[in-house]
Amino acid sequence: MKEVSDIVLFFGRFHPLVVHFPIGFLFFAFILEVLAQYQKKTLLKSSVPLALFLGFLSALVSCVLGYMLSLSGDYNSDALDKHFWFGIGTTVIAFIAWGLKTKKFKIKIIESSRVHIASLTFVVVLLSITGHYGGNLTHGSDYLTAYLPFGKQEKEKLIPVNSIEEAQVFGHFVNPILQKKCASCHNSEKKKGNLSLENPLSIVKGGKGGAVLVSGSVPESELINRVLLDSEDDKFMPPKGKNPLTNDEIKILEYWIESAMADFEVTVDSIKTEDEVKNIMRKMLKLEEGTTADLVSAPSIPQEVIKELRANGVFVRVLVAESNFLDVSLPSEKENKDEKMHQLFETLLKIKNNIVWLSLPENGIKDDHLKTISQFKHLKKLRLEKNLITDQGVEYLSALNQLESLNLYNNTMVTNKSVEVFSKMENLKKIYVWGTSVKKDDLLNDQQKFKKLPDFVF
Amino acid sequence: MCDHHDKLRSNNKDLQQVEKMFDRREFLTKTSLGLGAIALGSLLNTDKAWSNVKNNVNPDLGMFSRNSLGLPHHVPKAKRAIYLFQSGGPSQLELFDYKPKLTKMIGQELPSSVRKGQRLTGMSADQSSLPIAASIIDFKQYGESRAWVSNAMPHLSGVVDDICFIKSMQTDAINHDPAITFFQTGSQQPGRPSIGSWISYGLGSDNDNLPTFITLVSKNGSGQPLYSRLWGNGFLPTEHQGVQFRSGKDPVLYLTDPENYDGHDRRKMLDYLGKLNEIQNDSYGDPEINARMSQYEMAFRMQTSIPEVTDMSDEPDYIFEMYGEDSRDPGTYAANCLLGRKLLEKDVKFIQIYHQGWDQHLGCPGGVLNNAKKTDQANAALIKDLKQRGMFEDTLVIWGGEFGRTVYSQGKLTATDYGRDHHPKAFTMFMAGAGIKPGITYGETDDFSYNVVKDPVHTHDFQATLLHLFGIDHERLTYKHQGRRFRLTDVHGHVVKDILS
Repeated sequence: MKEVSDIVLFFGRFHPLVVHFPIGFLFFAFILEVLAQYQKKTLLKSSVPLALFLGFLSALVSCVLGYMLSLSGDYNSDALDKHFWFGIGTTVIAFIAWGLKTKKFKIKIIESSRVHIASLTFVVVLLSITGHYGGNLTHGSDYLTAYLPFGKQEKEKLIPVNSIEEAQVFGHFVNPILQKKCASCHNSEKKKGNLSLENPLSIVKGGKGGAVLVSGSVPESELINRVLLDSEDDKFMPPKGKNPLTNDEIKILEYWIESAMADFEVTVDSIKTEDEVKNIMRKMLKLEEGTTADLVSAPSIPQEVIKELRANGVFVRVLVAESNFLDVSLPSEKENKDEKMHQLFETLLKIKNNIVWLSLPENGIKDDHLKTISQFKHLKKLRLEKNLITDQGVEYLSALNQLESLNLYNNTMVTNKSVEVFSKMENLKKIYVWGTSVKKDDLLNDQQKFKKLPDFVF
Repeated sequence: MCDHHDKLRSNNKDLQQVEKMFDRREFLTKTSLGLGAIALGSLLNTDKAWSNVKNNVNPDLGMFSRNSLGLPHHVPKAKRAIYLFQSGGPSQLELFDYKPKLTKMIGQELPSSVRKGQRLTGMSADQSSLPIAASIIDFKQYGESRAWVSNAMPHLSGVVDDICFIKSMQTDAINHDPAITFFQTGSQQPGRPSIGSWISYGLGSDNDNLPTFITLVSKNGSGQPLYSRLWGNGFLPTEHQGVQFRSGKDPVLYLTDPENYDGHDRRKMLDYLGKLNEIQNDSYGDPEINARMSQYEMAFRMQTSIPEVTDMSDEPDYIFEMYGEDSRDPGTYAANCLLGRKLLEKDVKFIQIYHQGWDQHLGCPGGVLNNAKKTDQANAALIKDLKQRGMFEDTLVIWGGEFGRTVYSQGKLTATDYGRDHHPKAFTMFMAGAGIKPGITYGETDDFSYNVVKDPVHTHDFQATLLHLFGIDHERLTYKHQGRRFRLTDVHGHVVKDILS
């Protein structure tokens, strides 16, 4: 492509500004005409030619400027063509409409006010189409519909992953960055610098200066070089006024080009990945620190259950914002209150799959209650200190195979008999038995009997 | 007409005239706020209606926390913390940072290659020489972690395998007031909210009957003063400030009923006062009105909860023995540690214990031993006690001062005595419990305990790590005040991932 002189582009860039004049004038002419027609306001009618003429004139200027802008070659020629011809069409029709209105041209056959309305309607239709194509050129063709509340077309769906190891380097991490920070200018319609980052194929193809990726080499990859330039540099990307890439995002791009050899299919587990990069990835996938990752998803929480629990003095909190995992605790209450506890457990059952941490210290909990608790399959932490639990009750807990920490201190009736149950609980790491009847000395024998025992804290 | 005019209709004719008027301020508040609220409301609603909510997430976050800050950001490790603040700047050289090479250099001038022009305080800047002083207190290694602890801390040495020592702490300030303010609020200048206030603001309370943030100060403290702004709320709503428990008869003032008043109609009084405040709140929407209302209600509940929690009579003897004989004497450091544990059991989120007296400009060895004697046993007991109760896994224990002390002697150096000046560039803290790797030592200092040579941890890093353990991303917990969003770590801080379990 031959170089276009700067002054042409300078004026060309006024096109997006100037186009608003014809839009305004011509649309206004249409409104005047309609009003004049139906409200019989002849005064209004006399301003229509002026509005039309100004509309035509500004449309003409817009066309010229638009042509100048198109010489930059930053735009997809197919979409550009439509905008180009519709723009010229609008200008011509506006001129004809003005001619008809001022009786400079005469169409003998249908000499009536309908002609004016018709021609103006036509102008407005053309205007809208032109404007729409123009908008697509600037913002991308899905700009208007991207946030459509209904009927949204699902883009190629990525398989949701539970760990970063299963995730695709390009699909899950690199592509979202490119789409967020680059694709508003580098897409198949707009193609700034003749580069589209819309899909792997177009990325590989590169832009005006050739390939933008050299797999395995960050210094040779223009894609990342532009991002790493000084932000005052003319070639720095994204250009001024757009959000630059964050350090984390740059790290991911570098990792993709260097470690993942800019491959589009590869998954994280097949590449050596530094912890730092892994942490960024976790953040991107909202899998913080491994803890949420291993929580299976939970059903939504009925509001009235939460309200009821709160009214009974139970603290209910989400473990992580925007999750359905709950941390539930009931402050200690020494008085015996079987009736209330019975009610409470009935309510808790309604959210049994949401409770991950449960704390019921000194609340007169008995073996029967543990039968209910044994249905809370997602429990990881359970605090039952200072209650009235016996070995029999502990047996129910063996169903809780997610449980990691169990606090039974000062449940004086729990004895070494329960050790067998604890040994069967796969994930149990800590068990607090201070003040119970579990004997340290006997535990030594138990240790020989059972292969795997949690850490007993006395 | 405004609803408060209807509710507060008086029977006085003149007043009725006034009541009917719609004053200028009210007009402006009503109209501008009203319109704004409508606009905002519709914005928020559409947001909710149209956004893609992932796996049926409950949109009403307000149900789960007192505010809709979107917290916690990640699954928390700590549900509560107790911060044992050793005010004055305990000497790392006499306690944890063992430097055997110094014994060969006693009395020698501190090499300028070590000091590197580091600023000194006004107290030792004009000293003609800066002679190196080695610790005259001996050190030994303890536990499986082989951590070095001096003989000043015989009890703590028994729990080193539960502790993470950070030997590479650094701060920006060199004098007490700015340094302690920096540690507690993230800024050397007063006016920012303290750590506990931020946590209270971000996470709210786990106990309706006690404050979220409680401060305990050892009685008869001497040395550098402490100021209530260290547990202040800064620009956060007032209910987030730390409540100080006093050592005397009344842990919290003005909770007991005055003489000859049985308090039977207080509930009625509060209900009516609440109504008045609500009217005020409806008209002006000042968040401080809400704060005041919740404070009154809290005070009312504390009338029963405070005597209950400060009652030590149900603690068995062996617990007192564990914390040391001092713990029977309310207001001592040991008693405060024990009370702290009781408060933690009640799920108070953040407890700040202050102990003054670690400012050994003169008589350093003696001073260190004296303060260690007052605090060591209780520190160790607190850790053991939390452990046996199963609370150590989700309670964070922090020990540390506002800075460390210099390797050179301030004042006269003799074979048995020396002083040490303030030193911000390297000092030791320890953290233990929730989410902290047990039995490790992090960071290293040079042979003079003067510069950090490996893994420096800045005060802001420590604060970021603390918030991280509570499930808070320190960069995302902000509060807009005077046109700017503030956060505890300002624009600094990195989570020290290496000490996290």
